Parts: sequence; C-alpha cells; structure tokens
Amino acid sequence: MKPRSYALGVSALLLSLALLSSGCQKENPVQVLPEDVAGTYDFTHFIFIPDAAAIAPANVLDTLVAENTNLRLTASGQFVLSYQFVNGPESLIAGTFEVDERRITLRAYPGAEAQLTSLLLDSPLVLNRTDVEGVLEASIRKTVDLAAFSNRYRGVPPVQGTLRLRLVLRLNAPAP
Amino acid sequence: MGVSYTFSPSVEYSRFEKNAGLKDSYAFGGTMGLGLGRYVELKVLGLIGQYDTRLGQLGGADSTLAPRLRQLPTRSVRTERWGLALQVNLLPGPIVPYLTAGTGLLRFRPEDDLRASESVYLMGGGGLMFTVASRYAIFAQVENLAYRYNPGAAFLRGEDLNRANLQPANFRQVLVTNWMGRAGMRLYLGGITSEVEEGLFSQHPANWRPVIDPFVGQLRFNRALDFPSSQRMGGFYLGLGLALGPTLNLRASTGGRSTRAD
Repeated sequence: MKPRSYALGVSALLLSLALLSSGCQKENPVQVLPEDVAGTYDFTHFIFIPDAAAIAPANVLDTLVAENTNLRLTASGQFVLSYQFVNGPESLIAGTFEVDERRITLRAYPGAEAQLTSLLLDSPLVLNRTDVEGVLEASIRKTVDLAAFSNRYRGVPPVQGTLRLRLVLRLNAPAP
Repeated sequence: MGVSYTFSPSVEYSRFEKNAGLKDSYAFGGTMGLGLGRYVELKVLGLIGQYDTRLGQLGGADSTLAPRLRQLPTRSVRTERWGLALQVNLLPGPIVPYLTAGTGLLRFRPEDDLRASESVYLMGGGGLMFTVASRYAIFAQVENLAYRYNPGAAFLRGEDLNRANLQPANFRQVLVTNWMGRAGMRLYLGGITSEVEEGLFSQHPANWRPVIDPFVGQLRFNRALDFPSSQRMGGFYLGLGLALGPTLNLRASTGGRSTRAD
C-alpha cells in the first residue's frame, strides 16, 4: 500500500471519528420531570385553518364548553384531557406524556381514537413548550374531514390545513 | 526489528463537550509500550488530570431548570485514566503516521470527600511520530474519548441538589464524546531482535487479513455485578480481527445472543 493510500485512510478515519462525534444524536444529561410541568392547562386557541382560503376556519373552541375543557398533566406522567361539546356530555381522554426541554408528547391510551378524531386530534400529540413559562403551542399540518366535524361544512371533502393549539397553565388562586 | 519496550511521558489537553460537565484543562501521564515489530505497539496508559466542574451548561434544561443548574457548586475533580491502547504505525521511517484505539477505566475523584465513580471509556484517534534520534521520538496525536456517566451521581451530593432545588431524577446517564490532544516523547528502553521475532511481527498492515471466528460459550458474572450469574450463549459470536503474522491475531468480538441459564 502506498503512502498516499495511508494518508487517505488516516484522513477518512479521522473524518469518520469527527462525524461520529458531532453527528450522533446526543442525549442530554439533564431531564425535565413531569412534575415540573404538572398542572391544569386551559385552551386559548384551538382552531383548524384550511389551506383553501374559500373554506372558513373551524374554531373548535366555539363548539366546546370552555369551563369543562382543559388538559391536566400529573406529576406521575399521566394526562387527562377533559372536554365537553356544547349540548354534549362531559368526556375524558387519558394517557401518558413525556416531557423534555422543548416539548410535551401526549400518548392517549388505546380506544380513544374516535374521541381524538372528534377533536381533530391524533395520538401522539406534540405540544411545544414556548419561552413563556406555562404556555404550550402546537401547529400541526393535517387533513381533516370538516364535514364530519360540523354540519356547517356539509359537502366539503377532506381538506388539508393547519391545526393551531395554544394552552395556558391555570394559575392557582392565592390562598385567602 | 523484533520486540521493543518503550516509555512515553505525555501531556494531554482535554477538550470536553458541554455535557461532560468539566472545564477544559490538562492531564499528565504516559504509556508503557510493547512494540511488536515496526508496525504494532501495545500500550498501558495512565493519565491523571485535575478539572473543575461546569454544570451550568449541561444540555436538556428548560427555562426553569437552567437557573437551578447555575446554582450548583463548582467542584474540583481529579481524574485517573488507566487503560490499554493499540497503536498501528502506517509507515516505516523517520515520520510515522499512526492510528490508535483503546479502552480502559476513567475514574472521577471529586473533592469534598465525594465517592469516586468509574466509567469504561473507548478511545480512537491518530497521530504523527517524529524520530529525533535512534532512541527518541516525539509524537502528537488527536483522539476521541467516549464514556457514559451521570453528572448528578458523579459530581454532586444530595445537599448540592437540595440547595439548587433539584432531584437525582433530573440527571441521567449519557454518552459523552470528547476530543483530546496529546503530545509527548517516546523513549526506546530496549528490546529483542532476532530472526524469529522479525518473522512473527514483520507483517505490513497492508498484508493483514480479516478473520471471522464463530464461537459459542458460557458467561459467568460475579454476583456483585447483579447480573444473572450464568448465561448461555443462545446464538453465536463473531470474532473479527487481524492476523498480524503467522502466530499472532488481534480480535474484537461483537454481536451474540444470550439466554438466562439460572
């Protein structure tokens, strides 16, 4: 083997090492715990905006009873999404969640697919943590059958658009 | 050239990644080497360093954890690195490029009587060696040092965490990879030169051939390790190595499946 081949070999090895070192997905040694984000979050935005400007946005919040609609994250890593459609019964979707410094990922227990679809949601649902403490947001590209969501969209085929969510941590009332 | 013995005192500049939780600094030590011909050297390595912790930049903290991390104390940590390394010289002559790889134990000894912790490390890199006289050479090398550790367990005590309003669960074990630059002098201490050794170790690296060895076996762990004391290999292992000469092979095994026997 010629010296030039060796030089190339050494360069390739060092380059591989460098790529391995810098390219590997790094784990973080510090982890946010579920209890750090535990609490009750209220929806302030819950709207699906179709790409087609001719179709009106579907404001999911308008169809829900606000005081009975919230997301509760527990310190043990479980969530309960409570909701109530206007003139409908109160309902719950439960599951587990994971948290890191950037996002909270909710995974519903099996069997909640239909309920999630009624809310235009999927599992897993990823909520981004914002710079403002206690505020979660999501902007999800998806195709939605609006006709199944509301009679208002009767005859409209499934359309692509963006589902926007914003949740704000409910502050505990100060003790009297 | 047959078998030779070398001693290489060296100084190492350690450039730690931020998740290693240590500030860059120097370590000192060296290697004792057993040269097998002109292309291969087996080394026993020892390096001792003194570093300050840098825990405020650990990754994974959100806006509430970051200020708490910055409240953690800076602590001096003595590191001891003991291991084995293989060096393969790529060219004969006065300027020798080489590759090196090794493994060993990295021990952290934080001040304030914290318990020492240990991690197994893997190292790989390359360098250049310049012969300055018949028995002396100087070298400079760059290597990547990888190990797994938990910063909370290695560098902190319970009261540090309490004071910063953190918990042990806020830290986890991760893999960190760090770049090290090392320079030193290689002293030739002596050796044996005979036709036999020349024949054994004179294979040029270009002539090495890969070897694949399937094998099966039984593994017994010490009970202190808290593994099943005896495990039978349910699959097979592949040994992949290099035949350096007619009688000497280097092997590294990988893969394999095992089933619990008791």
